[in-house]
Amino acid sequence: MTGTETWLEPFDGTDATILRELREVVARLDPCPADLTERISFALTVQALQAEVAELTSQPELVSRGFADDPAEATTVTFSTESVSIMVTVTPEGRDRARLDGWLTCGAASVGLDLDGGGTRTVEADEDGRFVLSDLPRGGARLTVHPPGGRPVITPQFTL
Amino acid sequence: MVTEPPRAGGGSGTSPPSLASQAGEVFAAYVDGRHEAIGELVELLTPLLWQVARAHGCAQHAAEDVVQETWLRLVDHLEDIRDPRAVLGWLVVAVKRESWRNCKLARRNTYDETGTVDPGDVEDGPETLAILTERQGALWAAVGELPERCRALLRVVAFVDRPDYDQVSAALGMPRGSIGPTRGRCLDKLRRALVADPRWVDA
Repeated sequence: MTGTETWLEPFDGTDATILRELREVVARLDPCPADLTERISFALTVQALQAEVAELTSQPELVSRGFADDPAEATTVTFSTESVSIMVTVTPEGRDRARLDGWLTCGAASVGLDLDGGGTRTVEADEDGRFVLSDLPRGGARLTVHPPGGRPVITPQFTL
Repeated sequence: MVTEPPRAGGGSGTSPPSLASQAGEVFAAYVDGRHEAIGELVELLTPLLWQVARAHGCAQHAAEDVVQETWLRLVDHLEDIRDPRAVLGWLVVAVKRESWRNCKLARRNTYDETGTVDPGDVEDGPETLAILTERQGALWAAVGELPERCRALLRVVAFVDRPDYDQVSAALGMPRGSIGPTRGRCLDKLRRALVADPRWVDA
């Protein structure tokens, strides 16, 4: 071979180019899954709140497709844990807003809606467990319900 | 405000802050009570941690689990990290260890009869190589010829900035100076293979 200790030479522009191109190759061949950061953030939120995760128990279309079929139609979806069920009806409001009518089987509770685009809207459910949030931006969202004295309940993401 | 060490060979004036110092600032904000900062830290470092898990033998699904578990452990171990700038290294070490624990064993039992098949490696099938240019294909093939420790080091280091090399090498269990300020043995091997490859040189 060459006999010179080329590995002791200073890291130079060619080395930087090799690593930059390696990064491009790896990013193309084996990229981090696009939704991984979102799932991790969700897991961290659940852990931080010591929350129960509600499962979707009806109308999975809302979660995956939104209003693909008929944009004018209201869609209802239900999430449940052992202790509480959350029914959510989403209705389009004008061209690009939405209204959410919710009902909780646990009665009065604080409700937070985390919006995908950032920000949280909060509302108090009345003693029958009903609440309304209107003028919401379209997009992904998830609800966190804080029943008085109970563990918070957090829903998977659904589409407004 | 963190002062950056000068970047040799860059030459283009202002360089972005290193990943370790960016992560350190966001982490410090989280520890100080800005809860949403953890989401920013996840966005910033998860693509790197994915590469760490994949470079240490985790199949795709296992790599997702390993990276997620590591983030959950971080928020339970905040007191372990005294210098916020060390959070990058802490996460890389944790993902590497978790990968060894969860993925190496599966790999040995399932795949590693010859030591050549690695579920953390990318399939070099025709579809895979078709998305690469000839020059990129030459690079990827040369990386595949390196010893495993070198493959892991270069694959991970490629996702950070020069000032981070020491912290990342140390986290990967490589000696300080494995890469930067000198070229180091791993990158030297790769570079020598490439300069002998007409697909790399002529492209």
